[in-house]
Amino acid sequence: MKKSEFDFSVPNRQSYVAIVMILFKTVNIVVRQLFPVLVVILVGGSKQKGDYIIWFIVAVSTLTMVYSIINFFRTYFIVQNGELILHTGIFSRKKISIPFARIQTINFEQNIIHQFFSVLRIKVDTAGSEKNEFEFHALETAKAYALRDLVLAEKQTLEPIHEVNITGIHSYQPTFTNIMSLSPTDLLKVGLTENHIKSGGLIFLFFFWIYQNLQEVGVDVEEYSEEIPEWEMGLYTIIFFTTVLMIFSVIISLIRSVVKNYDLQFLRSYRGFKIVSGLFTKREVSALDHKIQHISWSDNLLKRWIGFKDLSLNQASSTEINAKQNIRIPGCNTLHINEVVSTLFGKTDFDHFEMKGIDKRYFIRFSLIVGILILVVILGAYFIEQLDKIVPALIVGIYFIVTRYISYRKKSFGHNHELVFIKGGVFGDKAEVLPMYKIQALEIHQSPYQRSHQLCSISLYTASGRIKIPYIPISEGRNISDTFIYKVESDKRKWM
Amino acid sequence: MEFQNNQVDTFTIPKSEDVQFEKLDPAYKKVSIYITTIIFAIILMAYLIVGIFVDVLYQFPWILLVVVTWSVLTGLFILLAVKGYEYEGFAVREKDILFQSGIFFRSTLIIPFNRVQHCEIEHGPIDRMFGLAALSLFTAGGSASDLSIPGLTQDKAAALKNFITNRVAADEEE
Repeated sequence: MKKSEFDFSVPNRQSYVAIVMILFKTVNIVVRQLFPVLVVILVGGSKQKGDYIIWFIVAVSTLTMVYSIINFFRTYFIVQNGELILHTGIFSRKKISIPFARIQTINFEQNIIHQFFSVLRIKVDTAGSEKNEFEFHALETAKAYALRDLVLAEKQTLEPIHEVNITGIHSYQPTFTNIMSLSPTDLLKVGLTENHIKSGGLIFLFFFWIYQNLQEVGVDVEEYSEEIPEWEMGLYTIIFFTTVLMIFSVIISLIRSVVKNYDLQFLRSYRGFKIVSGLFTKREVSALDHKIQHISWSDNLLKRWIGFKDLSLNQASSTEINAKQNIRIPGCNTLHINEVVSTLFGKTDFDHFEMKGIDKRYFIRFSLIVGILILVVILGAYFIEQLDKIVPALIVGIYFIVTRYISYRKKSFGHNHELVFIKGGVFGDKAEVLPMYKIQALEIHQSPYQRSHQLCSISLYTASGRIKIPYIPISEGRNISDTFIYKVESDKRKWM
Repeated sequence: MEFQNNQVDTFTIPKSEDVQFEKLDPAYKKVSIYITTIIFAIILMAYLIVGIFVDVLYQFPWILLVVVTWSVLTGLFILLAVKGYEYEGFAVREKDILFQSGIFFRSTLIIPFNRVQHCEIEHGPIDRMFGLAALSLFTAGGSASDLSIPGLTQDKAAALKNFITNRVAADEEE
């Protein structure tokens, strides 16, 4: 490798092309924001209103643009003592330092404009939170590669490769072994036992979206709907529509499920899992053992009936912070799950875990609040003489209280010297398994009510999301917190 | 290195309960008061500016109501800001850092140093007026698990950052 011709120990700025990129981005945003307005104007809606919005958007985006350009001149980076240091900010200056060892990946991206100027968008990923990643709109290609080489080379000398896989159950074979594959009948079963209420909601949202958009472009939907003959809103009509909606929901969720899970293969490879599925586009997702932070499985009433569970492998999200990389594998049974668990964490018998329930005030407190709210609604309805609102309010309230009760009864937690196991669920069952050393941070919360009853809630933050243990005695909470933290601090394994 | 997993006597595990929390710098109280006042001043200004165009906002019953509510709320929030100071504190142990906060909803966040992704020092304009800084620690656990300790003197913030960075580096080497 030739010695880098770039000196990173002095402040480096982005390529000036970044300004072009900022302009481009602003124009892009403006066009996208203005699009509905333009459509309205073209269709012939109110013109003056459109003008206002246009000027407002133009003003805001110009300000943003000016801000970004000033920021461009105030942003630079230095490489110093094995750290990447970024200086940025206009009013309050900010210095971000990222030790090389913490850098997960350096990603490059090149769109057409980038190619034209031979620059790259560079993104340094730290698996930290979103705003602290280091992103440059444009950096000269050669410089970007030099930076990456430098970081990778130093990173290599910093950390010797660690052996992550400790289970030892799997022999070193590069071939794939099949854990589970969905047969056509199983696929049908999976589709039929999906959450149909969710599909129903999607259908509803879809029509709502169309309605909104039509209104936005100035089509008077109300006018058209008046042309439809008046329906007699009797009991039969309601039953009819509900049935139609239900059938549609089932069909939609079935189609969605088949398209997604067609010919699903759940495979075990060396140090990871692989899931291949899809009808039109074949998706192939890999989950490496060391990236999996916690796993969970759940079912609903229908699934429990036929013994199916959805297994979730929750991975650390280093590239997409918002879309946590959860891989969902439907149609697993207990045997499959046991196999995954023992592959990842070693032979584990969850029946031997000493499970503890949560405090009954988890239910009592909630019911009290909901009860008071319902009372307020009922009293309000009584005073404004809208008695027909009382029954729905009661039904909703009772639904919340009953589900909270079930959730309270089902929630339990336990741990051994290695794993945290949390059970819960409302209509179905849900279970979560988290190795203690994958915990990133831990928080003990106490509301005034909890404090007066010596209770607390615990949040376990992992790179694949938060896991909460609500309403446990404070002494118990402190105990498990100390144990978990001790485990994190004494365990030498890498969490990723 | 052979993997070891010895049984631990639960009584020897360090207890977070026994930790002595260190208060933030007293000047931070003033910073909180300033920030709260500025925010409320902006709210009042916004109301007054809108009032130039909308006459009714300046008319008798409303303007009085707004001024009274505004004063009460400002007072209340300043009180909360001052009171909140009493409940905020941090503690540094050999292997982790603890931060507690909240007047009503109290919480204690524990971040082990071997899970810190990176840390940074921030000082806004008002912080600078009082020679204060905030130290932020970031983990891979998402933004809810990130920690920001405000109200540190700049020396202390720098020293803490140094200490933590060294700890993180030491952990990397092991």
